[in-house]
Amino acid sequence: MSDRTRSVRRTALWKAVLTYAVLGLGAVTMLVPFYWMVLTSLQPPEMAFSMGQIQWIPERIVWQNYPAAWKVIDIPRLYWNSIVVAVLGTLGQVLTSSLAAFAFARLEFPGRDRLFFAYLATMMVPGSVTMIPNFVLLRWLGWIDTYQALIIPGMFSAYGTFLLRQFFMGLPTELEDAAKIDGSSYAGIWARVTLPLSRPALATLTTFTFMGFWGSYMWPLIIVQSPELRTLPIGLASFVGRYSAEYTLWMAASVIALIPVLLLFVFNQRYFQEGIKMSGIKG
Amino acid sequence: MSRTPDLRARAAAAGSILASLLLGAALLTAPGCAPGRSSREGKITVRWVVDPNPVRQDQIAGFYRTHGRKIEIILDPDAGRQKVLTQLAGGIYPELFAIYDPASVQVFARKGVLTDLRPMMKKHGIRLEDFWPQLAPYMRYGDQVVGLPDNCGTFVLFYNRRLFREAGVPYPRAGWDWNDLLEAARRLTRRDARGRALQFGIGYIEPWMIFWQYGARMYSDDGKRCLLDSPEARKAAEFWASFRLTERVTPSPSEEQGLAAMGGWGGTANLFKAEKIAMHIVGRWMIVEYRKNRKLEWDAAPIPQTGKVRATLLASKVYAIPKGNRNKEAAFTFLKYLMSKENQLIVAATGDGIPSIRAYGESREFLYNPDYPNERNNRVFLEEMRWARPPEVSPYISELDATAIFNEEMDLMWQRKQTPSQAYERIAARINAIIRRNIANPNLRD
Amino acid sequence: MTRRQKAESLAALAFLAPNVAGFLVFTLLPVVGAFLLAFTNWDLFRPPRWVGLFNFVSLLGWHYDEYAGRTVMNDPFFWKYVYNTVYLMMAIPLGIAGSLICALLMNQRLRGITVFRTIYFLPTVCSGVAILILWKWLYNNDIGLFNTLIRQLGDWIGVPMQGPNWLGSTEWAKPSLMLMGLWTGLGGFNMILYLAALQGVPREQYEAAAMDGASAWQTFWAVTWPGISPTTFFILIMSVIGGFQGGFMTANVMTQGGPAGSTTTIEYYIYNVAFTRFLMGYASAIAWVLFLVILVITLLTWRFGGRRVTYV
Repeated sequence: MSDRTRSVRRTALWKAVLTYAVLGLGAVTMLVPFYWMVLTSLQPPEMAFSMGQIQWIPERIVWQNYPAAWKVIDIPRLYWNSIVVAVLGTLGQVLTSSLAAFAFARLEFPGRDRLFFAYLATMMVPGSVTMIPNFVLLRWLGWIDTYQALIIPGMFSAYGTFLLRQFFMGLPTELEDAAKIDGSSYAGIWARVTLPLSRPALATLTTFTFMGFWGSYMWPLIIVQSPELRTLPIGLASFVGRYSAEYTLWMAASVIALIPVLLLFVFNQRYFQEGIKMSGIKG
Repeated sequence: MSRTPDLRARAAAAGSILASLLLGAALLTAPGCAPGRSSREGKITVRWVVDPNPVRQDQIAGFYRTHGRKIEIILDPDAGRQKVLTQLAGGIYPELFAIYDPASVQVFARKGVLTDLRPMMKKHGIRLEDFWPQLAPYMRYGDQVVGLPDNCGTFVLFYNRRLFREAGVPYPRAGWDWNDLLEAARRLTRRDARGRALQFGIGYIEPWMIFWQYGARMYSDDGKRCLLDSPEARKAAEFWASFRLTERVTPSPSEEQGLAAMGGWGGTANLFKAEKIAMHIVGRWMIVEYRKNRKLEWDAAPIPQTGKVRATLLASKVYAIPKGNRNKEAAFTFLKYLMSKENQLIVAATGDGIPSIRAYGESREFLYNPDYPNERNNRVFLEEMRWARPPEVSPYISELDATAIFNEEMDLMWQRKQTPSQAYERIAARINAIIRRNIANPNLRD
Repeated sequence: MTRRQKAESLAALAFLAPNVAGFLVFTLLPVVGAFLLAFTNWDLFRPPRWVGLFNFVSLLGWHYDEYAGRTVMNDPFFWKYVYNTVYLMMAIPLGIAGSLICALLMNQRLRGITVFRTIYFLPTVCSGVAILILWKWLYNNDIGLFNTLIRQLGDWIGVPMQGPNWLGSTEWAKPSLMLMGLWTGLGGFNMILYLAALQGVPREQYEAAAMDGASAWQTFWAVTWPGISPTTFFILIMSVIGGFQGGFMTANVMTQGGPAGSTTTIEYYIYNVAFTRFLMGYASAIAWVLFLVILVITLLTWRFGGRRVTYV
């Protein structure tokens, strides 16, 4: 082994050690709050107030906070509402966006580019601008405090159309031309050629739209009036507001709320990361 | 072959548009889907928006006992004013909802959403004169009666007899002034070797009582000027704030949290219940909490007076019926029950205030509750009503703005960035600036 | 139009109908409505009243107050909240730098790197109300993790120490939120974007730099930084747009906009004006001003930042 190789190897070793050290420190910073969360949730309510030492390994584990939080906050209902809203909303958004994106990307019609520009322009308009008129509109429709109000207005974000249009435009046209020659209708092309080729983009859009509906807070806050319609973020926040000093319950409720999301993430990491790269490159 | 795609395209287009229109129409005309929204045949439901005090279930049970179950009462526990206003703005009209302060009553009434209850009162024989006259700001808007209360409470001085005995401090009694209170609080505040507090003399005191008793007012009679910069008000502020800042006989919010036991309904109250605070000035409704600790030897005395002006804080709530609601008869039937002697005594027996109708308060059933023979002091609460006042309000500034300003300046004061005197001067200056603008520009007012 | 063109147009109509219908009803119509609303005074209960530019003057203008003896802004709260919003946005460069550093570290082919990536992404995945609740608890002045650790440290070294009142003091509230934001966003979307971008920089450039004898520092600035500049640009613009509109959930769940209004952002103000004060016209006016600000800043960033982006 030459001297040069040895010094190169040594630099690489130092780099690796340094990297692991720094990343490790950061990882600890990331994980400690979560550990603290679980720790607090397993403590009896009075112990959370001992202004003494932190017990990193608890002496006593108390499970009662979990059933207590579960009962009070009505977790199943919250999850059900969030799931219904997110699933239906995502389905609607992906469906209508892919149809519209196909038209913008593949079909020629008068006013196409101007209409698309209008879409783009509205993407820049912040949500608070349209929030109030939408409330008034929904009041007129009688939809305040209903599922429709949570699902339908959110289905028509221009973002989805934009993302898919860009993607469609990047697809090669040979397969579509072939299908056209074979006499397929546009709908057929859309369903049998374009969509299957767009799996990455569709996965991205689905993921982002779903996450958007799932975490949506301000809109449900003004729409939801009855406790039975609450979605997860709203239910969790109102729980903390009502039990303003019961920290062990807070943490138990948060853990319950986070577990499904965490599980989903751990098993579907690939989609997340692919999807983000996709949206970033096209953006 | 060249014709088929054309026809096909047209058919597809037509079909798609038709489908969209149908779907749109179906969606637009479908009833709003929400859980729990199914209409019940033959039953009238009254949605009652009120705080989730456990006594509500007893009240509902009492209603069913006397009226059967033709009308069903559904409790809706998130009773904040903003929530209710948003519901009303959104076209959802609960049958009966609670309003907790006179300012909010004005806000609701000005928006024209409250029903004038006088016709129904006449029909059902409920008379305005039967109620405590001090409750008028809660009940009236101009000539109209827009809400009816079923209870009210003044603030009194609760104290822990055991802590007093052990410290050798004489019990509070009528005729005390605030310096007596301060002295007792000093002797009842204990700290450990490190200076961390183990016990406090008295909990947070609402500023209103002290500065009314000093002869100060928040607003002038016509509401056009904020008077917190007057010498009396500033003197009162210095005294009031000293409890926490210099004397340190009252805990700060974080100290409260540090001492706190379980949460729930009121922080200081729980500290009193846990015997970490020796005195607490609050309304009678806290008895609900205090009774939970059977070991707690509590008693009540009138709040201290300065001798110049007798005043204490009044708290109440009224129930109102929104104009847009379609079940007003059912709602009023329930409201009438809430005004009955039976209901008011149920509520008062739990300790939640005193009845709003004077005669009921004077009745034997209220004064002597066999379940709690050690509560010999119910008469105190009635007597204190004589000089009870609700918080002051000006029509020229939204009390949300006033409260926001007050809290901001108080925060700075508690952080010792300004003296209480300076804080009150700034509050008055800021509130007066807003009042002046609102008088000049009616467009700015709610 | 030829028959073919007509067929295509009709087909386009068919494809667009559902989306455009929704777009018209729930996006375009409300935008127009918001525009009109900004010139009215309406509380959703009483009939609306046209007031012209009054809302905008109330928001942005000033007047002379004889009693105070000087000129004051018409809505001092608004300017304070603008300050809060911009202050909070100062964390953006820090966040971008942090994500870049993480990405650089994670771009190496070391064993177990993907485990780190997962761990760093956890806060983003969980983000939302649960994380806000967690941090509210962490920041508790007496028994939260941070202050307890600080106190323990003080006990250990013999000098009594006390942590700051994170969410309860006006000086620390905003930095506390910025710290939380950094923790949540460090290993999140921005880092993933940077990872992808880093892998897109052509190897030849690195080899050329190595042959020229460039140090790591020089290589970074000459090769890496320009190579990832499109991503940096994208992240910057998205962060700015998001930053102006942000802070609502945090304020609503954690701080109620306090203490003393120091964590209220423009978005929280709009919500409060609309759904607590029920001044719909005024709220719409604020929203429109916010939109204009976002538009102008974005265009400026595009114009000036765009020049510095090099496309490979």
